[in-house]
Amino acid sequence: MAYRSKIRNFSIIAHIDHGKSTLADRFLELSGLVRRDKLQKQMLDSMDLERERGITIKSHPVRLVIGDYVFNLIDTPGHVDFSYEVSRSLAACEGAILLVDATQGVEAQTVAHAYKAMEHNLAIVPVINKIDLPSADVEGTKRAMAQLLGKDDIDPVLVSAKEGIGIQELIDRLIEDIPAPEGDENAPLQALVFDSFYDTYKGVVSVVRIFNGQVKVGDRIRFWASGLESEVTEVGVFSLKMVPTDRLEAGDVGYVAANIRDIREVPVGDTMTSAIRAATAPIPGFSSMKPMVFASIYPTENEDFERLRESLKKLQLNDAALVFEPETSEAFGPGFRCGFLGLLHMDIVRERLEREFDLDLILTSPNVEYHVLTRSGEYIEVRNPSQFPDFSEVELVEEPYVRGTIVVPSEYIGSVIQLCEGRRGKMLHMEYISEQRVLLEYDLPFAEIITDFYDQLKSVTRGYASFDYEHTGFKEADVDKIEVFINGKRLDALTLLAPKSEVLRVARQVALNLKHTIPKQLVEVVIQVKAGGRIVARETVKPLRKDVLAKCYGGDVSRKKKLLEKQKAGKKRMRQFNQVDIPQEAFLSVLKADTE
Amino acid sequence: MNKGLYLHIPFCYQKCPFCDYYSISHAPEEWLDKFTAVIVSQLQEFPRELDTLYVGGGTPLALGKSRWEKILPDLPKARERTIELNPEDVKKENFPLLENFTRLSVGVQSFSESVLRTLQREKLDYGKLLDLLGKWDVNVDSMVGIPGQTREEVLRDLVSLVALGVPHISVYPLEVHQGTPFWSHYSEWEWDDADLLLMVEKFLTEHGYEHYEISNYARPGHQCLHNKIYWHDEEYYALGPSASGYVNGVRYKWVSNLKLYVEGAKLGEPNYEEYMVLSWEEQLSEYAIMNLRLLNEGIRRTEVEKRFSESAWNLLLKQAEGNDFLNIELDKITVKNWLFFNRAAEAFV
Repeated sequence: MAYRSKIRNFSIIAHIDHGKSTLADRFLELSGLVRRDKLQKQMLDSMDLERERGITIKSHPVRLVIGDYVFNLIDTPGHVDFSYEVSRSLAACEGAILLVDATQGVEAQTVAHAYKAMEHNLAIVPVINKIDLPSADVEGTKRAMAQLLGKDDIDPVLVSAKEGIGIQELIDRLIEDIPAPEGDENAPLQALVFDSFYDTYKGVVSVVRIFNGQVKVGDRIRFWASGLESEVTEVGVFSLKMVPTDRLEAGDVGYVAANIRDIREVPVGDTMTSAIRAATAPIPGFSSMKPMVFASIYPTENEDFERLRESLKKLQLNDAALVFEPETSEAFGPGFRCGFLGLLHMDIVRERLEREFDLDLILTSPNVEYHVLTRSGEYIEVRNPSQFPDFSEVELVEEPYVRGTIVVPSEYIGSVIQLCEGRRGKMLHMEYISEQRVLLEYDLPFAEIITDFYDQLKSVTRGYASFDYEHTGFKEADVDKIEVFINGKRLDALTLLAPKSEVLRVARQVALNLKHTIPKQLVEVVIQVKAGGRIVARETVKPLRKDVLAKCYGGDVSRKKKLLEKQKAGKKRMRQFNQVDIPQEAFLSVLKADTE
Repeated sequence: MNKGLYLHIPFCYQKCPFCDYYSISHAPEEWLDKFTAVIVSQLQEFPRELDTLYVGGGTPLALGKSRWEKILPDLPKARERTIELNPEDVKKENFPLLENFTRLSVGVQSFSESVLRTLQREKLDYGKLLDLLGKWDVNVDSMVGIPGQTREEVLRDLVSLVALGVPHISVYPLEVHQGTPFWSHYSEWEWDDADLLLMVEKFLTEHGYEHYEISNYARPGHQCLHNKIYWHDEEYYALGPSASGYVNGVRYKWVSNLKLYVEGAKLGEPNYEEYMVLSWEEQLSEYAIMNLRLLNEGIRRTEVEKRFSESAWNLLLKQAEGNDFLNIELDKITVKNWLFFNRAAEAFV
C-alpha cells in the first residue's frame, strides 16, 4: 500500500508540435535516465518513420523515478488512425496532462483526446507550454482550456518544456492532483494489455497496467478475449530499455513476455488474468481493432507475389491492426486485399514494404467498407468495390460515418462549412472556443474523409485548421459503381463507388485524372469510365511517336546516360495492363478533386 | 583506334534563344585575349599529330581573325579538321583562315525567312554555300519542328541542300531547354515532329544519303570522322570551358566558366567540372549506347571482342534479351526503330 501510494500513472494529451516529446524529454532528464547532452531528439519515438514524420505511432510507456515517486508516463499515439490505442492507453492511467501550446491554442486533436480522458474520468492537469515565446497568449489559451474542460476557471501549470521552466512545479502538481492507483495485490490478476509488440527473442511482449493482483515468472496466464493460455517467461518495467523485475503488482505498468508467437492472440485492450485463479470479470471497454480503410496491393512484377506475402506476414508480427487476404484481380493477377486503420496506417505499411523489404508495388486507391443487404435477404460486407453486387439485387447499402472535429480560425468558417457540406456533411455543433477560433463538429461519411479531405481542408484554411474524427457507425448510403476501361478492357482494380448524386461528376474527373497521370504509350490509350451501367466519360492519351535523344556527341555522354537511367527507373512502379503501363500515381489520382 | 581533339570556343555574336551550350556573347576583348593565350599554352602539351580535330562553339570565328592566327600554328595536324561556322562567317575574307581546315560545319538551320525569324538567326545565301562546296567538305545543320514551320518549308530546305550537293546534313528536332528564352514561350508546346523526321529520312535516303547516325546523313565517303570517334567510343582530348574529353578510361569535362578555366590553367591547376574514372562495366555500357547510335554499324561483335572481351559480347547479348526495340543479329546489335532509340539504349543502362 505504501508502495502504491507513490505511483502516478499518466498520459500527455497534446496536438502535434505542441511540445509533448520535449516535455517527455525533460521528465527523462529529471529522472536521471538520460543526460540532456545525450538526448536523441524525441527519445521515445523508436521507429525511424516516427522520427521522420514527427509523430508517435506506438505507445511507449516509460518508468521515471523522481524523488521517492514512480511516474509511469504512458505515451499515446498521435494520430487519429490509432485512436483506439489512445483510448486503451488512457484507460491504463489515473490522470493526464492536457498540454497546449500558448502560441497555437487548443486544436482539434486536443479536443478529441481531452473528451476521451474525461470519459475515462481521468484527473486532468492543464499545462500551457511555450510561455517563453513572444507570441504566447497565456490568458486566451487558459480560457479556451477552461471552456473545453467545462469549467469556469482553471489553474494551469505554466511551462516552457524547451527551456525547462515550470517542470518541477508540474511534477508537484502531478503528485497532488493525480490519485495514486487503487487495487488489491492479493486479488486475482487483472491486467489491461494496452499495447503489444513482437520481440525476436522474447516473442510477443504485452505492455500492461496491473489493476489487481500480481504477475511473476512461471505464472500461468490467460487472455480473456482470445482465451490463449501461456506461462510467463519474463516480467519487467520500461526504463528506456526493458528491465526485468521480480514481479509486477497492482498499480504497476510494465511488460509481460510469455513465449507467444502470434501478436493477434494478444489483442490490444484485452484483459490478462491468471489461468489458475481467474478474475471474475474483464476490464471493460475491450473491442477488437477493426480495419476501416481497404486497398489492394499488387507487386509490379508477378513473381514478387510470394515475397510480398512473406513481407506482409513479417509486418503483421508487429502490427496486429494490419489485415490482408489474397485476392486475384482480372487485370493484375494475384495480390492482397489489405485492411488498415486509416490512411496514415496504410501509408506506413506501403512505405515499410518498399523500404524495409525493397518491394516495388502498386497500391489501389483506398475505400471504406460497405454493408449491403440484397433483395434475397443476404447480408454482405463489401470491402472491394469491384465485388459490389449488381445494383438490381441490392435492397440497402450502408456506409461508415464519422464525427469530425475541426478547430479553425473564425475567418475560415465559411470555407470549412462549404467544404464539409460539399462532402455530404451535416453540422452537429459549432462553438467559439476563443474570440478568434471556432470548433465545428460534423457528421461525415468516412468515404469522403479518405479521399483528399484533409488536403482540401488544409488548403482552404491555409494550413490553420486541425482535424480529428471518431467512427460513429453505419448509415444508409445511395451509391453507384464507377468502372474504368482501358482500351476496351475493364481494369477491375480501379473500380470505385461514389454517391449517386455525384457519380457523373466523379466519373468525368476520374477520366481526366487518368488522362493526366497515364504517360504516353506506344499505342493510343482510350480511357472510358462507366457509371450507372453506361459509358459516361471518355478521354484519350495520344500515342508516343518517338523517344529519342537527338543530339549525343562527346560532351553529352554522361549527361545523356543519366537521362536514360532516370527514364528507366521511372518505369518501375508501373504495372502493365492490356499493353498499357499504369503508374502508381494513376491509382492515387482517381479520387482527387483535380490533378492539375 | 582513332584519336581526336575537340576545341570549344565559348564566344558567339549573339546568343540564340534556343541554345543551351556554354557561350558568351559580347565578351570583353581582354577575356578573348586571355582565353587565346591559355589555349596556345595548353596546345603545347598536346601531340603534334592526331586523327581528327574539331573546333566548335559558340561560334569559333567570334574569337576574331588575329587571335585565330595565334592559335593556328599550334593546332595539331589531322586528316580531318572541322570548324563550325555561322552564316555571317561565310565570306571571302575569311577563306584564308578557313583554308587551315578540311571540313566546315555551317549552322544554316533553315532557308525559310519566317523560320529564321523565329530562331533569330541570319540566312545563308545559296551562292555563298556553293562557294564553300567547291573547296571544302561541308556539313549543314538544319532544324525541324520549329513553331510555325510547315512541312513544305522543311521539304524545300531539303531540296535545296540536295540540289546544291551538300555532302553531309545534320537534322535536329528543336529541343526546348529549361533556362533558355524559348522555354518561357514553348515549354507547353505539344511537339509531334515524328512525321517530319520520317519525311526527312525518306527524302534524303532516296537521294543518295546514308542515314548513318540518328541525326546525321551523308553521301558515301563523307561521314564525319571526328563524330564517329564519339560514336565508336574512341578517345578524344578536350580544350576550352565546358568541353569534354575521354582518354584512358577517364571521362572529364572542363569547368563551364571562362574565368575559372583561365585562372586554373594559368596556375597549372586545371578546373574540371567532372572527372570520372570509368569501370569496365561503365565503359562497356557507354560503348554500347554510343555505338547503337550508328544505325547500320550498330554494336559490332568483332569490335566488342577486340576492345573488351568475348564475355563482354555475351554480357551485351544478355542485356539486350527481351528488348523489343533492338535487332539482335549474329555479329551485331542495331536499333530497330531509331525514333525509339532511348527504349533500345535502356537495355545497356
